[in-house]
Amino acid sequence: MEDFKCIIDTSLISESEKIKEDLFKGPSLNILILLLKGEKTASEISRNLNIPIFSTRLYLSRLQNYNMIVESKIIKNEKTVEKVYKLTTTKLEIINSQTNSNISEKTKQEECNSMAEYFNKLTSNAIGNIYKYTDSPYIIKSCFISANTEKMAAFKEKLNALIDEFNEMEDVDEEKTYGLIVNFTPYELD
Amino acid sequence: MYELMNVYLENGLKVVLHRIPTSKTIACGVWVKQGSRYEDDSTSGLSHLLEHLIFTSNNNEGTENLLDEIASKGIVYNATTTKEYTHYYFSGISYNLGFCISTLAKLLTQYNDVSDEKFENEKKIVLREASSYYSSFKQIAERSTQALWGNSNVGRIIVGDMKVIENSTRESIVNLYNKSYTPENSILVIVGGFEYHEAIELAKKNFASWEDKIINRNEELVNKEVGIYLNTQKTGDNSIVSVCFKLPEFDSPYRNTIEVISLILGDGGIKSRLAKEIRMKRGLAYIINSFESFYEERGLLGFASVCQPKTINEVVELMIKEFSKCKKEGFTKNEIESAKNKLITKRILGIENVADHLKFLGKCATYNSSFSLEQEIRNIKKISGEHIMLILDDIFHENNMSIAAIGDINIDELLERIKLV
Repeated sequence: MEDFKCIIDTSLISESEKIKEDLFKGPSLNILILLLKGEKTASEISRNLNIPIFSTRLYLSRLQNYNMIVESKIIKNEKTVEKVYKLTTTKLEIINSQTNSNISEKTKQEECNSMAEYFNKLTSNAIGNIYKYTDSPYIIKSCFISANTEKMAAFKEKLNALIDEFNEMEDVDEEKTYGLIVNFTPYELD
Repeated sequence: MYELMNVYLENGLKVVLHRIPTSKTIACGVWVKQGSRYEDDSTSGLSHLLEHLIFTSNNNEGTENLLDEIASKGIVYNATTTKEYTHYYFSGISYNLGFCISTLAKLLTQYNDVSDEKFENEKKIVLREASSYYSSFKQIAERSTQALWGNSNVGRIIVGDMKVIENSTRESIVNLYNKSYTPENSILVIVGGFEYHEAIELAKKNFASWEDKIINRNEELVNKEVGIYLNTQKTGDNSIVSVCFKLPEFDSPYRNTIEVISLILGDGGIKSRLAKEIRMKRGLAYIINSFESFYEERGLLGFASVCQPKTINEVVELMIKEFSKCKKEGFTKNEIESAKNKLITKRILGIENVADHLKFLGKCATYNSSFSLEQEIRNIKKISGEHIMLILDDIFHENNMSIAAIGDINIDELLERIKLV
């Protein structure tokens, strides 16, 4: 007797499309931040974030499906295999750019919502933990101005140069991670 | 006294004999070490298809005539593909032993290609079987193996990938047969009322000409870390979930203790700990049971429940609470004694029927494990509360645990609620 529709899909994790909206539910963002420090296995991530390995594997699978992380290598032992994961790019900003202009308005809106969710988590994380690092340099500031589009385009170039300068300062031997979260956009209230 | 004899033929075929002098029946079968464990993405499901084709192969006498003759003698026959082996077995009145062994030899030592028509027909049957399996809650046990070890080795599902079966060719099946159906990779097991010298002579007469070949096969590695199996498709009013744990192999000295734990927590009835908490006290599910599978190198203990998608998280949370509780407090003396008695009864009943006994012996032989009823019962009797506590501590921890679930469930909410301490 059949209980439900036949599962032909051979993948281990098969979730509904809804997951795009939920990508940053749970510890996905913390996994990304952790991977900024270098590639890691699921058990290393699990230990670092204090979450069970099976949960970690689910979040890793979602991030992989969303092309945010890739398997960098496979460690083979006598009878087992272990995957090592790394960020698609160490510059997390790349995942927030909309590069494909051929997608529908609806998809564009979904991607924007996903980015907003992501930034929301990033800023919450950064600001929420700043009380631990009052002796380190930081700025939390928001400004809103009415301005000319050409001048704003020129400012964008300067800002990009500043972001490049920030990235060039990376020193992988240092323990502390700094984040520069930039949101420079036309502003509109909902 | 439980008596067991192992003999090797010159071609490498192992013959395991267990004589029961009082029995008027016999059972015999061949175990071939070929199952989904030895498949890969391009051969997934072909071991099972080959098992079907063995019974339709055009061997010298014509299989249909052979099967008619078996039926006319009242002999019961069947075959099963598992993850690690495929077995073909017969049971009947003792005087049919010669016929049964010669039929097994005809079927297994000389596979001849089948016609296109027969091949396509058998593929359709196997695909129907697979489709029915993948539409049922029964698949949760195998989905649990996938969650623990990935889609490789013992994590592979026996009925396999339907696309691979659909695209398979007669040549691929002949290749699989030539690669794995060899004397060295097989075991002949005979149980029941017979004489040893007679059975050995029959084995030699029928199987000695089976050509000894070298087999080369690459075995897939399993995932080191546990994963998860999740399919969130809508399954109507019911969904299914399994919480499962990695275990040691079949030959582990802890196998019986684990079975006792499994019986106390999730024995199919309404008296198990999980049934009391989830079904009897709260009415959250109708089906809650445990299952354990032991393989040559690893095993699993699972607890499954069929319930409404909206209650699945609560059901899992209650399961985890119960695991944490028994890890901390253990079980009562009564619970342990009752489970031990159930297990002893199960073992004794298992050897009362020659066909069931044959299957158990075949599995032991495949894993190079020696079975003796007296030893088994002695080991069960020795199980103590302290010993159980040690095993519970070893098994029930988060990094040894996984989840398999099918249904419209909120997995993120579920994962947030799980805390096995």
